[in-house]
Amino acid sequence: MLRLLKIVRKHRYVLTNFVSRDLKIKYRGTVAGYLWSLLEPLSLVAVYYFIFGVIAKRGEADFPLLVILGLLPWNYFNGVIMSSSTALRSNAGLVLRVHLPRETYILANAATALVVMGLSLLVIIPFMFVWDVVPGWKLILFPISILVLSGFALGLGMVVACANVIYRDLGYLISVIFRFLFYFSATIYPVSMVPKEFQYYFLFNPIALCLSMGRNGVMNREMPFEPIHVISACVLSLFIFALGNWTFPKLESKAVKYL
Amino acid sequence: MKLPAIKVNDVHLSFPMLQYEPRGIKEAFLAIALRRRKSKAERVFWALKGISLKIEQGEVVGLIGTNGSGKSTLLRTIAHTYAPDKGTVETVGGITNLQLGSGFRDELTGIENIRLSGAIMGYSPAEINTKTEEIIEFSGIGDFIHQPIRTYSSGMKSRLGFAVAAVAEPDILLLDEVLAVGDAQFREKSMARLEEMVGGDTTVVIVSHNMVELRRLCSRVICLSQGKVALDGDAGEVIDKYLENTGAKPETE
Repeated sequence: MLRLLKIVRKHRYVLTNFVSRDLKIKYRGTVAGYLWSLLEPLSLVAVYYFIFGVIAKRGEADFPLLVILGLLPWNYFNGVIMSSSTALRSNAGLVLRVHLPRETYILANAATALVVMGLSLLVIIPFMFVWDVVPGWKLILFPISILVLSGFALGLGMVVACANVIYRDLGYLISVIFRFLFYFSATIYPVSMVPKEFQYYFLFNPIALCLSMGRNGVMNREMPFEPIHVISACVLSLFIFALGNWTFPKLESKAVKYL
Repeated sequence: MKLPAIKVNDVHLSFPMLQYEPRGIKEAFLAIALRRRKSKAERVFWALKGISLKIEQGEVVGLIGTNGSGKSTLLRTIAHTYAPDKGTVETVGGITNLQLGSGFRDELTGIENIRLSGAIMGYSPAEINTKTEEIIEFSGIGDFIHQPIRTYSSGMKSRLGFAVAAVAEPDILLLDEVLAVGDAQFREKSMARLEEMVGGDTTVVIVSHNMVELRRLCSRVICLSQGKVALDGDAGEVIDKYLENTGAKPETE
């Protein structure tokens, strides 16, 4: 696991260049480009608000805020996995020629997704004023939840990056699994909307736990989970992260031959 | 005696033969379920079959052979891109494996691509700053350097690619069919630059089909045939023998 840290330290200049390359391509046209990335979460909020608030008549007034705080971290998680799955294939030209640790491509994608999430999160500031949400000490839980989420994302990403080179239909399978995971992870609804008797089991889904912890942290609300949920999520995250780190060097030398 | 910069010791390298490999997860499961898999020995293709070489520091070596004889694979193995199935590869110092514009992004401008490639090749920010001017100058692209490179002609792209690599000062330089790019004028300029690099301490391995250029640059040439070293020795002699064996006419300038 120290290997990743070493890579970040040794190749930070390449990493920042990869990230700024991706951001430049994404936000070409600077300010307007950035506004587009705010428009995306906003439009989703409008859609979910319409479905839940207007049609189903569920939820409180600050429902949009709750949705954004679920969606943006989810998009980050989803984005890291999806971009990892193509990381080696889309960089094949470099992977086959430049002697750069291949984790770099995955790290760069993850860092880009993190920056995009950070920039998009600014969208919540006006909403927080409107609904008078004052964050307190629990705000610290948001970065913690992102950290736990990142462990999963990077660990899975490293496995998926190699596997997708060898089995080229993996992308389809991932998108199906992720569609399920999306609706089972409290992304567009709070855990409190889950029937009481299921909540205990529901929160063993580490993604649901992370999203709910981060969201309630920012909104300064009661936490719906118990310590056992947090511990299980942290242990699982660490395990997946370690697994990815351990398998990646073995898988990548096999995978490059399929590029 | 000089130290060997590249030591290749009995290297074997196999590739999976994709017609026998499951194309996806579904096929992988089916293959296991139906016991349709061939044994591993039947499913692989040996691209390198026991190659041993020593290349000394400062040597300029050409690598020739028919298409599919393993030249590029050997080059990538020396660059540590492929890990050999058997045998070892030892190298001393930094390696640049030059393939034109492999890190280029069409959406970025010429300058942005220069900076990105520089970072990928391991330059520090300060080095990139000093080298950017040099690269622009060498490429001769002029004001187009501020345009996204998707607007470039293919010749312009390869010129920029060569220019980025031309300012490199690696210990080991690997060139995979990059000699003949651009128009006649640029080709002459790049040959001159290569001769400059060749004259120094850099160890160079060149894969090329251009025998005229190989004769001009290399002192030693290695000929590969079906993943093995067929000939190894003085550039002129090996090239003559190779041309004789393949039945090609001696090249004319």
